[in-house]
Amino acid sequence: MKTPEQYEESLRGMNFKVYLMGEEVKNVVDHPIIRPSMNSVKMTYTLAQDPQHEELMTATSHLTGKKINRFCHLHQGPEDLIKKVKMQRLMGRKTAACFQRCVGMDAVNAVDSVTFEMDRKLGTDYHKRFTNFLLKMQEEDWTVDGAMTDVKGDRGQSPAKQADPDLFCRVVERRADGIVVRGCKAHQTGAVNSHWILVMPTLTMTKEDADFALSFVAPADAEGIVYIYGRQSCDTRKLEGGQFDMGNREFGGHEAMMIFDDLFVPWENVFLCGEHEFSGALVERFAGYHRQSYGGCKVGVGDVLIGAAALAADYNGASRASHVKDKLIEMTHLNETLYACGIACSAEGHRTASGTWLIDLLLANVCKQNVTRFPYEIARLAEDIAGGLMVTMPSEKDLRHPVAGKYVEKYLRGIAGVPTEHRMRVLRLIENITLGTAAVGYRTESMHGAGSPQAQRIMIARQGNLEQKKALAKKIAGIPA
Amino acid sequence: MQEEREREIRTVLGERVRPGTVSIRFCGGCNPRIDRGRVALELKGALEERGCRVVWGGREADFRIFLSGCLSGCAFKYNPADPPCVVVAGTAVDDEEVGEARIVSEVLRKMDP
Repeated sequence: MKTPEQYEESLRGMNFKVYLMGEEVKNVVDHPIIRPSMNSVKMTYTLAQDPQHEELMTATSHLTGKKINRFCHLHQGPEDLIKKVKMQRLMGRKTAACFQRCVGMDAVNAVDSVTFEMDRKLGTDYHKRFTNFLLKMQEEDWTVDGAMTDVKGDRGQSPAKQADPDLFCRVVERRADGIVVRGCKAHQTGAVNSHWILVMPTLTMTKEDADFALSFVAPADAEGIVYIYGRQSCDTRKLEGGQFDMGNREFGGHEAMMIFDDLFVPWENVFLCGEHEFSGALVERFAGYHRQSYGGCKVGVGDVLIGAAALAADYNGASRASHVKDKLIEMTHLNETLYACGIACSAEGHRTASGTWLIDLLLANVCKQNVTRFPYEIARLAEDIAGGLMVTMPSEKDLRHPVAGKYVEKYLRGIAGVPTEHRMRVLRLIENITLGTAAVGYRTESMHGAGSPQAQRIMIARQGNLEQKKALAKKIAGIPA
Repeated sequence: MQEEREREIRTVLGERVRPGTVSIRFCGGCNPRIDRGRVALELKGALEERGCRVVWGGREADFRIFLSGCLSGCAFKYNPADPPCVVVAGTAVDDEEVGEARIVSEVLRKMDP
């Protein structure tokens, strides 16, 4: 396994083409806006070396028998699925941010079982190619970006009927040695902190959309891939150089547009190319794993937010108020409900034909549906407890100012014995998670990441077993079947 | 409280624990109810004072301590082992509630040969 230092160095050796705020970034590792997100991924390497966390952060490879980072592992049983959720909660607690690496883990688990089943039915050799890649991924301890969401253009039209066909990623040329790909993946979490990308189709494809039924891997810095880094609320606070106005100085997440400008992919790195009938299974399984993921990572961030709200109440002198206690209870209840769903869909998982275990899809979709709601309520309650000062407070520079500072220090003091700066720090942390850079992960990603709410409702309808429930009601009510 | 805990540990150590290799295996620490790191370091210090060698997570040991942060007890659940061993799960030692302050002394008592 890579040490955290080796991970950082490995990124320095890469040649990403990244644009951020109208400028090309030559050094992604040390850029002040990007760096906190790299620190979050780096933590996945740090904790894997720590005896206090290796039980969750590492696993034994079913391919080699070697100890590997769990983010490179295929789930071999319900224990692995449960440990995944626990690991994600742990990571959320350590970073209070999106740590980005689970997308690739979910992608390899989905691609494994689907390529296995595809080979068995069609006689292709995709699974062998995929396994060769996975071996290298485990050996090199790569961070892999799972890339699914296309930009999609006109939502009312299928991929093949778009005015511009490049609005869905597609094969534009098939050669003897590989394929040429054009298109753009949106919202690519952790893209420029990754060694490789694993591309998957964005939705179930029909026969006429066969050129869009596509899965492959490529080095994240391959010639032909361009990234345009996504803005986050309050992101330029990271350029100010202070200690706490950014709320979370050390950690963060990131998303980027990932553009394939006629990217060449050799055949050995292609895992799906035109077999449209398997695109639906790939999308469904990846989405299922990722909906499970949110029952861990968002809970970990929620733990930090609940702690911050409780600290704010302490510092405000309000912690004994019954309504404040009740709000903290409600936040905990909501957070642990998300966790319960993450654990439940893992415990009820099942084995697929390849041997890799899949979560219970109904429960995973219920998990994610709750995630589209509960973090918003937890955030609302945190803002309620924090008070309006969270968004009207002067800057850190004012606190440090020789004249203004004494007023800030005196008039923003809460209870005696707690420095004004501590009160400001915890309010900035709450601001960061609820409406700053981390809100990208905690709020809007909770809504749309791993599929928007309606996508889960479709799956819940499909998996809900309604006819059997009707039969139950008929029997109890004495209605003939 | 700290002094009292240290006094109790010394009493137990003086009477009972034999030198040897002791492994301490952690759970993953997803949501611990106790400070596993502090407990482990206190155990390590006390055992080394008595001449024991402490290893983290090793399977080859004369005695194993499984140290989990909550009652789920994942350290032992996922790595079950035959005695001699002691299982700490949150504030319980071998399924008996002892409170966080008494975990170390209780573990040392359990190591009574």
